[in-house]
Parts: sequence; C-alpha cells; structure tokens
Amino acid sequence: MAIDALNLAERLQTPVFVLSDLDIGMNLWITEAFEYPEKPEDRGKVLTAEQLAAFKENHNGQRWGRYLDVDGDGIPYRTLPGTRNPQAGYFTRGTGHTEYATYSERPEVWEAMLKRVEKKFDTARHLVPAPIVEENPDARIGIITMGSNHPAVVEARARLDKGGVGSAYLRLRALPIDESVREFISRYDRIYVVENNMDGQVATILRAELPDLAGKLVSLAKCDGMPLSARWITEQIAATE
Amino acid sequence: MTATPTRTPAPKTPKVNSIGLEKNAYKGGESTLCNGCGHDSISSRIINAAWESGLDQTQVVKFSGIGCSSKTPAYFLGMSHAFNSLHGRMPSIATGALVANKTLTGIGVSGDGDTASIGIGGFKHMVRRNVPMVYVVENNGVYGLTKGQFSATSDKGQKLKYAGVNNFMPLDVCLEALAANATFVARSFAGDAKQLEALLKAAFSHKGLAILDVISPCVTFNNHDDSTKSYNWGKEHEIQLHELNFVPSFEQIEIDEYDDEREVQLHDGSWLLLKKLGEDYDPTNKILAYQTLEDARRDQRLLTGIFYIEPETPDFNDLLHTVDTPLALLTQAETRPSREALKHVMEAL
Repeated sequence: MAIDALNLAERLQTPVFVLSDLDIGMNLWITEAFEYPEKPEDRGKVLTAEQLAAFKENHNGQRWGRYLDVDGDGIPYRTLPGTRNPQAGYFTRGTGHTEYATYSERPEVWEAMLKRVEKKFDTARHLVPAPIVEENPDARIGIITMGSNHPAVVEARARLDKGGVGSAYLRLRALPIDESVREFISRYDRIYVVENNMDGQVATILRAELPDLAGKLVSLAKCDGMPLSARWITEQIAATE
Repeated sequence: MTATPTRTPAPKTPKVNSIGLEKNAYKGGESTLCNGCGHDSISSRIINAAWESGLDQTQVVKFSGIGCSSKTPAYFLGMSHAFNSLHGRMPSIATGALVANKTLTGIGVSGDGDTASIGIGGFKHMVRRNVPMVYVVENNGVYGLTKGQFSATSDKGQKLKYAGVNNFMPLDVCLEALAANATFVARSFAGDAKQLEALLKAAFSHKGLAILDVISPCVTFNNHDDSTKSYNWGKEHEIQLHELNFVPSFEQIEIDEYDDEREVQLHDGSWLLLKKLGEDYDPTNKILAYQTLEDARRDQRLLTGIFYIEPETPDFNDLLHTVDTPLALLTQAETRPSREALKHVMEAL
C-alpha cells in the first residue's frame, strides 16, 4: 500500500493520505508474508533536460508549461531541481499562476487552473485502488465499509444471512470514488455505510458525491475506542430489515 | 605578523561572468513590493553576488515561507527552481530538497515572522542539522504583509501606528542560531551593499548552513526614525565589526603580510578576509560571539559582520552518509532491495 501511495503521489503530483486506525496501528497482527513488488516505481511525468529540449517537437509545436495540460488528463509535466536546461526552472507558489508558472491575479486564469485540477481529480478516480465488490442478486440491501471493519462486516453478513437477510458488500479502498460505487448503490434498496467514527464521515462524502442516491444511504457509525463488533452491526441492520 | 592571502585584482568589470553570462540573466520577475523596500535591495545583492560568483542557476534552488520577504525569490535568479512553502515551513521543505539532491546550491529567504515566530522550531532544527544552504532572514521587525503588527524581533518599547507599544523582549536571530550550534552566523544591513555582497559570497562558499540576519527596513510600516529597523537608524547606528573582503576560489591568491587582518579559508578554497576595525575580533570564538551579540543588544548597537564561523564542520549530508550520486538521480536498480533481501527480512520476523 505504501508503494502504491508513493507511486500515486508522483503520478498525480499531489499528497496521498494513507489512512490507518488505532486497531491496526497499535496492535500486533499476524499477516501473510509480504510479496516482492514486481511493478517498477512510477515517477510520473518528469522531464529530463533532453526531453525538455525535444518537448515542442514531440507535442505538436506546443511549448512546455509547468501547469499546461497537454494530454487531457489534468496532469502537466514537471522538471526536477538540478535539471541542466535553462528553461527547466519554475516558481512553485500557492497564489494565482498561469500555465507557464508566471504570477497572475486574473480571475479567468485562476478558474482555468482549478478546472484543470478538477480534471486531475477525475483522472485519480481510475488510478486509485478500486473497491472490492461482492454482488448478491437476491439481496435488497448492500453494505459499504472500509479498513479494519472488514472482518466484523464479513461475520455480520453471515449472521444476517442466517436470519434471512441477504446482503451485497462493497469494501471501499480509496477516495475519490469511481462509477462502480454509484452502480452498486443503484442496484439495492438500501445501503448501510458502516464506519468506526462518530460522525459517519464516509456516508457524508458519498452523499455529497452522489446526491441523487443520498436517500438510499443509512449511516451506521460508532466510536467507543474499540473495533466495531459483528454483533453491533448485525443488531443495527436487523432492527430495520 | 600574520601571513595573509591577498587578491590579485580580477580583470576590470567584465561584461560576462566566469560562466559567460551577463548580469541581466540573473534577474527574476518585476517586484511587487513597496518602492524602497529593503527586501528589494537584498534581492539586488543576491543577483550581484550570484553573478560575480558564477553560480549556475540550473543548479540553484530557492526556498521561502510566507510574508513579504518570501515573495522575493520570484525577483532574482529567474532560471532556478523555487518553492514558496507554508508559513514557517521553509526549513522542512528545503531540508528535504537538499537531501534529495546534495549537489544543489540552496538559497532560503525568510522574514522575522516566518523565522522567529511561526517558524522558530523549524529554523532551530535546520541550524542544528547544518543543512547546506544560505538562509537569509529579511528582518524588518514588523508583519508587513498583514499591514503592520509587531513581530518577534520588534524591539521592546517600539511604537507602531496601529499596533501601539510593544511590551515584549525581542528574539535575536543570531543568538538563536548560535545557541542551536550554527556554523556561520552573520548580520548585515540592507543599506550596506558592499558588506552584504561580501557576506553573501562567503555564505555561498560555506559548507553547511549560513545564517544571514539582514536588517531590512519596511518603508510602509516601520521606517520611522526611532525604529531600530529603519533606514535612518541603521545608517546612523551601524557599526561594522570588521571590514570584509571575500576572495573566491577561482581568483588567484598571493600571500602577503599584514597584521591587521584575520583570514578564514572556506571549505571550497575561497578566503574570507576580515580587516580589523578597532576591536580585535576572532570569528571562530563562540563565547566571544555570544558576548559581542549580547553587548550589542544591550547597548542598542546595530553590529554587523561575521559573528561566528566553523568552516570545516560536517554538513547534514555528511552526517547522513549519503552516497555521492544525488538521491533524486539514483536509478531503480540502485535503490530497490533484492528479492533475497525481502526474503531475509520476512524470515527474521
């Protein structure tokens, strides 16, 4: 996961937050041995001095700009400090800047930059780890959860099944979400979003991302300092179903 | 009598520097600071010092935090990479970048708010680690960008139009640096072009972190005559500890004999010459540096020059034992542990 996160950070040129929780972070767990990572590292769109010199030629006469999206994914090319090409340097700053990294206070420049970032966000939906979905054509309800709630949900589903309540399951592994989450929620009557925090934060994010489906989402959130239990999840769902 | 190196004069005012560039090539964008701002003078001195030192801008990286001072890397060395970081977090960003590529020349520009208030923790730890960089504090004793509040270096009793009277003791950037084991501590005044340029050149040649506290008047919020950060006060009260001269390593050195100079050879072979002006000051004596700074603070004197220097102390990359190739340029074949290495770790668990 750390390797994927670092690769994504370089590919998307953005910080990637890796979420853990107290249960995973402070207890000793036995896991399968780690497998040797076969994928090469991904440094993303980095230009060497030579690639920068040949950029125009390779991009239909388009001059390189630090924030210029030349291939439609919202991710521009960058150079690293120390690149021996006088065109390579640029000033990274938080205030308004043009596609060529020059200072600007023009509203249309500011807005265009945010539109590009929005496009990058959409690109990210297909690069981050996809959810793991277990469909159930006979079920009327679905469950969404994440992280260390997984074993409790697996057990709760088995218990509910015994009581005649079948369920489908989607384990979210990253944000931003892709279309598979919309498709999953659309397919069932009610979706229980099970999470180990006080406010139902993931349910809130899903409602904001999919406002037309917000009415289907039921937040099951609990935070008492302990991992979620299968019993609590089962009781909460069984009380309604 | 001390054997002292003296310089053979360089050819008269060359149009191009040692790497064939004109001075204009070292400029940046147009400044958006107030007319007469001390920070713009410092940018001009950096341009001059970098040009005369023949710095390759593609191998320079500029850093800053937030504040008027931190806008200035946009106004010099336009061909270099630069990163305008979060408020007070320039040292962290710079440390990472200069470990990722230890061959780069780093210039950090910060202000008294960015360094002495929100960034004091990062500042002290960067000093402690001796990260190889020139760290310029453009010190005007006021928060200019937010329209004139007191900063951590404002004098006790100082009056400002909107903020009233400051009741707190100031922090002294040079004393803070010394206490954190700095290897190069100097102070200058934005209005003293000659000295500031000599100090900047010496700072570029220093192996390790060079702290340059530059008193830089804020013409809009803190330039009245009773402010110790004003042009008039600075001009009237500046006392040079020594007259400074810097001889870069690429200029020919001849040894002559003088008894009123003290010389320090820097790691890259350059020489720093300190001509005695009244006091016989030894910039390698740390206790003397503390005493001198404390006396100047108590007596309200703007003492400028090099207070302390340790030319041979290992820098951060030496202490980390990093390989010769910059980490950022290592190939995957060089950085990826073998299949056997992972197997060995797994078996050990």
